[in-house]
Amino acid sequence: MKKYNKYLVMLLIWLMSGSVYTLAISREVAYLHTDRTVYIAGEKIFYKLYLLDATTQRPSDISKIGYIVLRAANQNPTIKRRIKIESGMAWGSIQLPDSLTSGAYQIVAFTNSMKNYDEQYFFKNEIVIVNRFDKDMHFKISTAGNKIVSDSVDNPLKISTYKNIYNTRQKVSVYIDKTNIKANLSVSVFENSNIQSSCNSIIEALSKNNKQPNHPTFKKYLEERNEKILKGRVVDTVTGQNINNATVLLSCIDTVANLQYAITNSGGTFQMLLSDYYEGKELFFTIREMPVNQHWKIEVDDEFALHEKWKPDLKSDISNYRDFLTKAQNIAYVNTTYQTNEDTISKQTEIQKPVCPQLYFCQAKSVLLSDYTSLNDFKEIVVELFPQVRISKRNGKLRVSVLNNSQKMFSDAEIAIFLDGVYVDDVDKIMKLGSEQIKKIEVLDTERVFGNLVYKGVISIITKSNEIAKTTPCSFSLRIKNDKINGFDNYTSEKNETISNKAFPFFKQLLYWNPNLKIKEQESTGFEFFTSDNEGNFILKIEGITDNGKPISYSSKIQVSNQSKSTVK
Amino acid sequence: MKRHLIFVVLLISITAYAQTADREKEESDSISQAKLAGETYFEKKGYKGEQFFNKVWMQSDILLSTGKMVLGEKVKYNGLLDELIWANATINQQFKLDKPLISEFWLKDEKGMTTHFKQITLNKSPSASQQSDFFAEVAVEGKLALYIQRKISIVDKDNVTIDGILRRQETIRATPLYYLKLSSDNYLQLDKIKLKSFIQLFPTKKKLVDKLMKSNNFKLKTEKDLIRLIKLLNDQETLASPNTQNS
Repeated sequence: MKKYNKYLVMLLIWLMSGSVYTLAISREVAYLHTDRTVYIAGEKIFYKLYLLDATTQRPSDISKIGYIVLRAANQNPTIKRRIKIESGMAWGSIQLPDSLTSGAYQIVAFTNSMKNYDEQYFFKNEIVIVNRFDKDMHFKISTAGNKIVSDSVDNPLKISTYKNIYNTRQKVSVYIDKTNIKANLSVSVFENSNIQSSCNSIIEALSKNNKQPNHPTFKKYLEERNEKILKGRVVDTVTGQNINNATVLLSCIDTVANLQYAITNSGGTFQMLLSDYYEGKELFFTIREMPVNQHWKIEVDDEFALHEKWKPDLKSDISNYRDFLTKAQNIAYVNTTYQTNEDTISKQTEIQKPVCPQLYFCQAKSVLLSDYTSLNDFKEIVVELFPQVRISKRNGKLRVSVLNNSQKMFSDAEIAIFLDGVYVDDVDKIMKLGSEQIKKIEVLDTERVFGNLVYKGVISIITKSNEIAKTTPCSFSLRIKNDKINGFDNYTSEKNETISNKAFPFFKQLLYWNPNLKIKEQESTGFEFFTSDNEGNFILKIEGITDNGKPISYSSKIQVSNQSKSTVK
Repeated sequence: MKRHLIFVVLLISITAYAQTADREKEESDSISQAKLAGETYFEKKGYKGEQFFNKVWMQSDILLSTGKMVLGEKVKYNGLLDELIWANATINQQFKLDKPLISEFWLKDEKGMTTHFKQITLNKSPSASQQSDFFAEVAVEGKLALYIQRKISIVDKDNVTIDGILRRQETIRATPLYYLKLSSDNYLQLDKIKLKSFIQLFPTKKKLVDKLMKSNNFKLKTEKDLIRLIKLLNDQETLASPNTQNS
């Protein structure tokens, strides 16, 4: 019997650890490699995001959407970017507004599924941004020091340059010897500011993440495997309680009636998958069949929201770096004047036409208003052109009903009205529209189903100049803009004409950025770039991950000095 | 006592684990499930014969033209109307699904046998107005594919007296149509399952067809024979497009 008990206990432990394991296996860890750590407002931050499986450290193929937030100390996010991830990698650029104030900023990267864990497991790094016109530079940073360059002992790559000191406007060739590993790297060559970042390398970031977090018992945030997940809730504004079982409808401006819906769960929350179709569009939410005299509202979660404010201990004075920052301001000024700022080129990907979540796919009775004499309003249009539609008044409220084709009678039940593709819950919103405004009307006079929603009929009105934009479609609606996802874009290197034209100013603090350098097994590789007229110490920094999940960090120094000038001396 | 305690803890943890997993799956499924669209269906009764390909409701996976998949919905294929009928279990109503929304569907019977249907578009003439869309069973897929339109046709109309009332009764029966899809994406219609009809479509393959049927010891008489012949032809690497006109 004792043996039997022992097995039971073992089974119990196995089951309990099993529930933990199911969550642990999908934990992701992010590392964001930025081209530099010091920027001038108006410049671009080039980044490469590595999204890895926390257990295997291999690129994660789970989340396809990532979030990057830039914020100042004790402030709300200044910049928010939703980015596309492919096979655990993403790269692109963030344009810094000219108006940013000087100071220390925190750049944060995470995915929706990472929100199931504490925010301390998000990727965070401190960068410095200086306004171009800030001459005083009275700000502090939290980190400082000189620990920038150190050849990683563990580095499996042999990286070399011909020499360590280069002339201005000279070609630099970097060689990576043959190796037996496959890896994906990001490379940047930038002027050394001596300001050390809080998270210097991918090795450091992964070692910080080695500590296993407490696993939640329930995954509140689902993985965004293909599409964005929009999360929200229906709240009673009077009692503050979350409402369960409420139907939330979503539609957006289009030339076809479109709909998506979600029903709030027992906690009053709802989730919706937002496909590519919704990218960059205005989203119109409403609640279906809200009880009379109730005051419900829809709240949508901010996917970028960070619950913990960044409260750094800003103790290091920047006086030691003033010369560097002033030089950076001057270079940014020259580049802005001569328009020689970094250009980006977008990765060419096969663009698939997004599929519209149409309410119906069948043939509707369609009328083009231009085919008929001008009619003043919707009532006149209905009387003249749609005998199967009836507008009546009940309890002082207008109602639209359709003649049911099969039952041969007008139904009292709800029909769905769409104006420019958007669901409208009040017929008053369309009554004033006549031939002047309306382009086309489609009517479905049969009882329709969409998922589990049933409508006695559908009327879809398409106007000539998006009348919906001028109206509130529903009594209880929420209208939000769904910003476009950022695809892959990359830094373009300078043209040869720019480099050879001595009359043209050529000052760069970022000499090279390549977010996607692939190392193949038993193949040597390399890259080239040019130094600019900017003399100083530059850092060659390489970060990456091998196919079997081993992080790679490498950095070395090169010096750029005008050798003709020193020869003259 | 100790043993009972372990049992209770074990039971609680199993239940909690199952509930967590179920809740997660439910939440995930509910947001990713695509929506079906259609109109209320009222079954016209009184036919002499069966109007549905599957008399009983079958669990079906449906691939939508939007590229999304709907899993495990109860459907019937009406061969007379060439429409897919959906039994919505939540609202307990039957709906005729919008045909342009359905790309493919798989009917699964209780024994686990699956019948795969696809929506086929035939260009009867170069003009788009002569297009015909219908659902057809996928019998063979390969270089040469065979699709069977499970058509139910009205073959007779008669006046009958039911419960003392004179009514018009229509007799319906299965009248399947066979379509062969070539690697060039063109379709050929086989009028009858006969060797002569088949050879008319593939005149250059007469010797090969004769040889295959002889060596495998069968004649082209039934649907099964036709499926077998096409599978054998697909196994032959030399199969080329016939020089026949498109249907």
